[in-house]
Amino acid sequence: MQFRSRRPRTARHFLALAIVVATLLLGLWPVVALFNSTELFLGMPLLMTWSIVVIGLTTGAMLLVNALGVHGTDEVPAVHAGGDTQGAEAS
Amino acid sequence: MTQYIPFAITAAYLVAAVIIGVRAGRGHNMSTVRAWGVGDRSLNPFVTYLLIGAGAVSAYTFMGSPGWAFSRGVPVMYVVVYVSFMAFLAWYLGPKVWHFGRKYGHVTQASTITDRYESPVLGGIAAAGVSIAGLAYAVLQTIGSAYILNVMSFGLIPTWMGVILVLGVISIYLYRSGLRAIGMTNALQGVLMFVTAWLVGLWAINHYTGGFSARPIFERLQEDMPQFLTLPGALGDMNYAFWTTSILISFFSIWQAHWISWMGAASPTGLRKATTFIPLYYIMLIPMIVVGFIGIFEYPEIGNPDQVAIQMAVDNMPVLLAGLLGAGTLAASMSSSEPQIHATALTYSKDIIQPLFKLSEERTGKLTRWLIFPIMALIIAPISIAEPASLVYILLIGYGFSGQAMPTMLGIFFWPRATKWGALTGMAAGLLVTVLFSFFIVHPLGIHAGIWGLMVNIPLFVIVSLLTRPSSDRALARYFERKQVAAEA
Repeated sequence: MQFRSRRPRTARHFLALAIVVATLLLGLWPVVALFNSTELFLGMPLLMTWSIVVIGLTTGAMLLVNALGVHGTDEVPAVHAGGDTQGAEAS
Repeated sequence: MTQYIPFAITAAYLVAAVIIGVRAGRGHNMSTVRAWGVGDRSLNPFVTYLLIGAGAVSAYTFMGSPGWAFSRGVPVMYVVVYVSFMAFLAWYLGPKVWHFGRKYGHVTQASTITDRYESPVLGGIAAAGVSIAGLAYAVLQTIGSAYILNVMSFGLIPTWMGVILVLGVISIYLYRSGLRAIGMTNALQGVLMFVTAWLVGLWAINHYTGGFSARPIFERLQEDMPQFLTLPGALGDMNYAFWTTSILISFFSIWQAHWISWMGAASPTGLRKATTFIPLYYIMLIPMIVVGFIGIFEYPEIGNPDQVAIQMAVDNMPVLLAGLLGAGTLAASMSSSEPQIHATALTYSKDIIQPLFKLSEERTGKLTRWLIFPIMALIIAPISIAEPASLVYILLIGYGFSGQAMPTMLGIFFWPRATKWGALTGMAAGLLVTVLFSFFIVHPLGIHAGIWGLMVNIPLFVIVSLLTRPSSDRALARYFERKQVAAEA
């Protein structure tokens, strides 16, 4: 019996993954290097302000993916009725 | 006598926690693992939000974060980033874990590992491994709680007494109401922490600048000590590589206590809603971080940076605010130690003792809640009182294990070809590398030791999995969709 790995399979799924990955990258190098400065913005060091923005972007990303309706399956796996040769095989 | 008002407020929090925690279990049969362990899956989205949100931040909010701001500066923000990112895991994996619990009766992370990989040995190792991190973390938080009581009582309550007092209070409502107690007390703790952090932060800014903008503090740092405003920070130990890899390894670590929290939600939809907004809770770290920056100028000679906020409170704040800070810090540390004690008792009984002695579900249910007493009395209390120097090493090993379990998690949620031998091999090798690069050759090239561990772990996990037999179809069908191969014409 073959089993499908869990990965994006539609354009909306790929978009959802891209949103999450992009948000993660915004908190990591090299993006943080752009904000690593002694300049102040909104009264705080630039990197501090950016980190606070990342908090909001994280929730925003989840809201956006929720709105897309492709936030990943909540259900336990069901038997896949149709034939589908995509995806990894557990053989 | 007014000097003891902060202590009275701090102590009042303990009383409130007991009342709320004990009442939380009403109407539930706490002799079952399902009720005591996962709260009968009855926690509403608001309680779930604060259970997960408040449980993640701990005494770090009021001690560690201002302490890091004081000693390093802006590198402290890496914690804000990684706790926010951890919400992604709760949001995406939480509903799936909830379903595992509901449909298959899982109550711990190790239960799912045992089931997926058909390996009680792997599950037992996972249970033991994650419990090291959980117990070490609980010890740290208990020490923090005892410290607060000591400071707020002006030394009347010595550390050992504070440890016993805090653990005694936790044991009352944790035994009585299990995860529901943690949820309800965390709801109180979460609100208290959020309000207190903002009140204390705004008070401190106003006291030292005359207004409510933190700009004058940072302008002064720009002039006098600009190294606090950028990476790698005033201590020079947070370069880009360490910032990035520290965030990633924390993001990859799924704590047992968080897993159990997800299972306690009343519904996966409610869990999804709650977790979407969890990052916003962590805004409350910001005012306390600013307090730490203020401390650079006000307490330059302080011996322990983690005490800068508490010292500021004791020296300067109005007694009511100082009391709130004491209560808030106590709440923060307790909100993080309770879930670890609870999770450890649950996993020890379900994943180690029950399979080892072949106990019935009923006997296991009765045993589980009693385990918190030996865990507290024989492990947490003595280590908290002794406070050995080795504690930080134990914590690092525990954290290392949590990080190295990540590929095992991949095999549960994403890759059906993962096998128990792949998981075991990768985990063992990854942990070895993590220990080596945590203690002997520390974070080579500025890359976190756990990431080096994963660089060895993941390839071994994949290779050994492909060379060994997968789990049975029966086990895999619980986690992955089957493919129907089209019939040939």
